Amino acid sequence: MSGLLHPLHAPDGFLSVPVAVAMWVVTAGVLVIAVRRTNASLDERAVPLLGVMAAFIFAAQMFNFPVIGGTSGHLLGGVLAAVLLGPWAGTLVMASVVAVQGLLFQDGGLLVMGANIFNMGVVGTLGAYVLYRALAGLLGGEARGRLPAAAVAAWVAVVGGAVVTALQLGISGVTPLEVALPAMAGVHALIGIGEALITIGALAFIGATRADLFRLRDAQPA
Amino acid sequence: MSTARRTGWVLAGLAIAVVVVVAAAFFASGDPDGLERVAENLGFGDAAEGSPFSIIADYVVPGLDGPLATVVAGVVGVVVLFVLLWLVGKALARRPGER
Repeated sequence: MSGLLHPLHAPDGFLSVPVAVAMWVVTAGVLVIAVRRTNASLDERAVPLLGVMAAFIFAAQMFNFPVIGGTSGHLLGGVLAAVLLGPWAGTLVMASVVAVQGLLFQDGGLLVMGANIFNMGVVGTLGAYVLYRALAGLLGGEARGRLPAAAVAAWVAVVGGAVVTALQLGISGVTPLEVALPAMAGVHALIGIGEALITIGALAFIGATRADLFRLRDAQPA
Repeated sequence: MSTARRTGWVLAGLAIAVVVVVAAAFFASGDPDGLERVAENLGFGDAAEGSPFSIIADYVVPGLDGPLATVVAGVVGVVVLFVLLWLVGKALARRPGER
């Protein structure tokens, strides 16, 4: 493998064709809903933020940070996108990032792109985001609980995405599930700490410079 | 929020993305990431199939060398994604007063 940066996302061949196709069907369904919901609710003032978040998450995904034992990790960004843009627009941002990575940079296979979008995007933007909202509520609202809730949700998004990936690998018959599950969850429990730190760093930066952006999402009808 | 300040924030956001790209080109870990590590350890890394085509594979612009090839690749990605999501957002967003 040449080049300074490795391909980061699952290549074609890691999942069986039936599993990859099934994940494409699920992801396509989610994207249809995401387009409709975004169309119904996206505030025009949020449009530049959509572009900036996609650009930043793409850039941040290029930055592999070392974790342990000759292993690296990188930001996924799903929770960050959802906290700022809402779950549906956040889903569109994550899907676009993964699609451009696959189409333009040959990072992630085309057949497994549905799975990559689901595992790295949807798990965070729709799954962990629900956890974020619940935790923020428990902590007395988003204004007070935003950073701790986002940190926990970001970690869960990475580990959850890894678990879902392991399930897909196991069902594909590529590697035994009982081996893949602890291996994927274990290394991503460490990578998730990086995800949490970058996510709260970005949110703290936005809170310090453009706190009004946090109100953009809530200005939208749910 | 004035238009000028809003534009300034967008430019600042893109500048941060470019800074991250440059930092990635020089300082990103070259070690396999979580999935690659697991694939190597569990022996299914060979299952990876190459892409049927190659545009800016591995974030290295063909014809350029070293970190520059990755910086240019990253800037291309930043611009493509910003423009793409701007267009998607414009197409989907409500106009003020709508609804």
